[in-house]
Amino acid sequence: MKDEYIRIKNARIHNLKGIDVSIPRHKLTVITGVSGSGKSSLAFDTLYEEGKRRYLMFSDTQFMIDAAPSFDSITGLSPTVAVEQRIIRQSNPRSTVGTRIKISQLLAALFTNYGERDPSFNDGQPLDISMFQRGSAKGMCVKCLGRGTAHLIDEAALLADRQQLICDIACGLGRRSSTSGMLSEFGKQYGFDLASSRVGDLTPEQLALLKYGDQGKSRFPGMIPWITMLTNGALSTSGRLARLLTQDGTMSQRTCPKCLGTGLGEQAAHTTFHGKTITELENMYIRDLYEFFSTCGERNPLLDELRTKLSCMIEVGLFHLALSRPLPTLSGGEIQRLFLASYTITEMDSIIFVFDEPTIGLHETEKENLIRIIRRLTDSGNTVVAVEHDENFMRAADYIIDIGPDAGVRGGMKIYEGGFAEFLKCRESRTAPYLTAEKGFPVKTVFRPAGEKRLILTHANTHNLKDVSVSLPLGVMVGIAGVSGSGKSSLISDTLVPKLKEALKNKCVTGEEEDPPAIPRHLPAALAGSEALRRCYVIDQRPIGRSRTSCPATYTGIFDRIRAMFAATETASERGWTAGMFSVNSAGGCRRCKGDGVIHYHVGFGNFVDIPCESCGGSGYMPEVMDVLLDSKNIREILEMSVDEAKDFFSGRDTNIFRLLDILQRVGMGYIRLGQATPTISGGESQRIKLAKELARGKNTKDALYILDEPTTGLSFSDSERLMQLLDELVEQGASVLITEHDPYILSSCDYIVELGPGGGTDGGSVIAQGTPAQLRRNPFSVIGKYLKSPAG
Amino acid sequence: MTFAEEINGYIGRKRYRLINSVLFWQDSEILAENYYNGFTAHSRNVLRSVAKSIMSLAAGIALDRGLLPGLDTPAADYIPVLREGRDPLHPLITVRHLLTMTSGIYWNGGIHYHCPMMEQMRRSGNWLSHIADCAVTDLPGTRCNYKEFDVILLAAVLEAVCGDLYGFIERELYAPLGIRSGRWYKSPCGVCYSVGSGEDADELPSALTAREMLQLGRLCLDGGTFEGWRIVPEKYLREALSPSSTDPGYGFLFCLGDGWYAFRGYGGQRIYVFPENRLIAVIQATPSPRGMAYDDVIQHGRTLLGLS
Repeated sequence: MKDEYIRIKNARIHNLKGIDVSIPRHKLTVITGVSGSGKSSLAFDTLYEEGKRRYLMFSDTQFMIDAAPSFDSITGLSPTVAVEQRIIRQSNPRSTVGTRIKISQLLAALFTNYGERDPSFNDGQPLDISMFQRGSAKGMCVKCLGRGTAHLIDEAALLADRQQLICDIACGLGRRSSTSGMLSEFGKQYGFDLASSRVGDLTPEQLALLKYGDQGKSRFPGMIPWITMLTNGALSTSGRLARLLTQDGTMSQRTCPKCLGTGLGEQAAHTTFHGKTITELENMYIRDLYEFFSTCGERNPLLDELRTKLSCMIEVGLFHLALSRPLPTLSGGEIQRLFLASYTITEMDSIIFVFDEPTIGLHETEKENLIRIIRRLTDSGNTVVAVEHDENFMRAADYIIDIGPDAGVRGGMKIYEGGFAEFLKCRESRTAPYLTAEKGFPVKTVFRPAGEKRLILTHANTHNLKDVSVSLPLGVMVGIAGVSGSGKSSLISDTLVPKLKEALKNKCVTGEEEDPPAIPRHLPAALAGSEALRRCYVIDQRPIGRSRTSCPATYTGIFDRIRAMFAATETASERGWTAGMFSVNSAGGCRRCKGDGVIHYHVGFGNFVDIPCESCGGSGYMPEVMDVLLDSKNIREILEMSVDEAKDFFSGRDTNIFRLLDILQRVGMGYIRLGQATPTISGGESQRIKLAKELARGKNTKDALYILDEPTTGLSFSDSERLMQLLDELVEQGASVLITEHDPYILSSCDYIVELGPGGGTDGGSVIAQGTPAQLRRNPFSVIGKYLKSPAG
Repeated sequence: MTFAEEINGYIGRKRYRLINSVLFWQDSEILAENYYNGFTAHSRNVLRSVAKSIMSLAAGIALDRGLLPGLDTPAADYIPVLREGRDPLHPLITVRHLLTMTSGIYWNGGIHYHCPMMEQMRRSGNWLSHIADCAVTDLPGTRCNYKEFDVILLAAVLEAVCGDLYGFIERELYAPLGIRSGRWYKSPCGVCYSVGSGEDADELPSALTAREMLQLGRLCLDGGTFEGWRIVPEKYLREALSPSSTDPGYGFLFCLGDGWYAFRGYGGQRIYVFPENRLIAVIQATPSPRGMAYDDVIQHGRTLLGLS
């Protein structure tokens, strides 16, 4: 008799405390629990990893090295697919929505076979599918190499300041080690000194030599070629110079003059389908594209396939994206749904799908749709397991597994397993009480009145915004609501934030030092009222740090203090070790694995296995560094601590560290490990860590504006409640908080809501309702209104 | 078994079915001259990139005649599209860069060197204009990246200085060596490029016999002279056959190795010269990706001769 359950015995990875769970096959199971309780350890690190491992071993595509088993047995498995958010964030920067879901390939095939060619560019030879693919050497524009844009140096602006020293040209390029040697040699030969001669001192001949070089006689190729090389060519690794020059106004990013931004070669640019080029179609919203293909009145197998795929995309709520949208710019929720769409397209059964908070970033109306699609997966014989905090999603589940009760060492136990109705009675769970009227999520009843101070943004027309004018009250908590694609980001991230940056200059902290060189453009909008703000903090979901070895400890700066504490120990000072010895990036890093702690082995067919490094035993440090102890803990053990544990450890030891850890805990990050690698940190987590870092700076919060994007992403009810309390305290202290949000609980806790809509893409872009949550509940034009929570009782 | 029979047996054992001719020559004596697939001493095989080394010899002669002022002459002096400011790096590209594959122009050779970028170029109306539109991704003179574009630009420079590049090659190089070839393909924009569009009709006129290939090897072996006549300046040839500053395995359109230099073309077209042994080996084959493997025939020959 076939077992109707997947049974996991004695799961003990990470903080799981040897739990046994059963997951019904062909059903929808939701795993709940506070953040860090062990939900993901169970769903991803145990169920998914083992399901994948067995399938891959069976299908002979890969061999896997057995790590120490983290469970006793799992029965009832079938091939397992993870639909995670965080892993997929690290995708090829050139992938787009269209290439990921293979619609771009279909479009390319459509144009190859059915495209109409401009007679003046028709060379009589057949078209080739790769001509319509930017990533192909046959198809890409040879000038911009498929990017569609190019940097342009403004030669006049570069040398406009006649008083600047030669070494200061191009934001101090001549002071950089890569250039200074070459340039000073060049100067000696042509009679100027880079540290004392000024632009105005040079003769026209010297100036021409400086700009364009001496045709290869000297090593220095000339300012213009050299800057071009550093910003456009193979040497342009960091993009820092391009960014500096762009801010400086000496460089601009323009549309590639050869391909006019299409990124494709001549043939592709002059082939159309029903009057549109492939680039035009890729830039359309998916819903409009579907419409276009449906009304073009032609039938062929490629078109049918395209329509099917596009309808799947619309169904999962991605109608507001364009195929050309780069994958890295999507939110985690959007990426997850993109993958979901590709699975619904393939129509498989008997697969186990493991989801990581599929409702993230979805409006209430869209959630219902998503639940329907996931239901269809189980109806056709698949098993779905989701880690989820969303109430409606839990209500839709067949089976609930609650892990907890708390995070880290205080979690990892199975609190409940069974149906939803019974779950509501579970008293030990930290989740269930919120689902019943008994506790409920605290909902605001008294709203702070919107005062005189306001930010007034008028005539915003960015992206799909339709001449929006809004007045955002300051000194209160404002929520921006609207379905996906309704224009929330266009209004806040793409209009208000750039305008604030313009007005507040360096008092507007974006937290990100590595802004991509923005295309300076005139934003069609005007902002008034920013003088009432002393500071503005934009706290987004972009990753914290980019290096492999960056982690919460390095990002928040406490690692520097911890290293200094280690360096000050007796053992370290006896051996003459400085703080650098306690960094894997510096003197202390293991020579063999270069601080990774693991060695990547290529096992064929592009697959890699990671084996803990033998030299350092996986610590990433030279073994002798482990001898240095700070109250019986070595540096690795400290990095392994969760914020909760570390807070106890550093209590009374270092007030700065303690203070930061305390704030991290209050923003709901108590479960995160100090040394957790950045790539494994989700967007929501990154945002909360950034928030903690800003708050810990202890700057006066009065008259500051905090702009957050779905700050409670990935947080359980109890953690969300704590975060909201913290934000509320900020407002009490005189700050203003502006949050873009879908969660009805969070929106209900705002003082004022601006709702955009009514739909997404071309159907959105207008303000449809604004006022207090209570007013919105009564507003017939509001979409979110009916989902907002009324005060308990 | 004779040396020639040994080579025959080796090619048979290795199943190199696309090799059409093999010729070993040492110090005025032909050691082996085998033909396959119905080919004879009079049959011709395509040059492919052997033509690059031939163009290098032509550049040396043009320099000697004073037609080309020097190797550090900017290519833009002779190619107007490089003077239009399409890329700030264009003025830096010199003839030396073209000879050493270091123009810095972007190139993607594709799998098995099938040259996807050539397709776009050929389909564009004007080859030179297309190349001038290509991104320059390396500072000229800094990185050796084997590509067709540099040779096409060199052909354009030589066409400009020699008047008619093929006519120049025929008169100054082929005639003294006794080589009889048809005219090389010329693109609509006037670039002399022996492969042409890749079609037989374009490429076959430039094909040579195995013995003609041997003559080219002998010219180099004798320091640019042939039967006592100076054809290529000695100084240029020495430099052309020495490692360039950016790639120890490449001179001026010649491949270099330990104790040898070679004219090498896609699919097994080879003229290997081992100056210390005064040994020359020629292979010609119907082009296929397997051509890279045929070099072991030469290695085997050297082993039989007790040279390695």
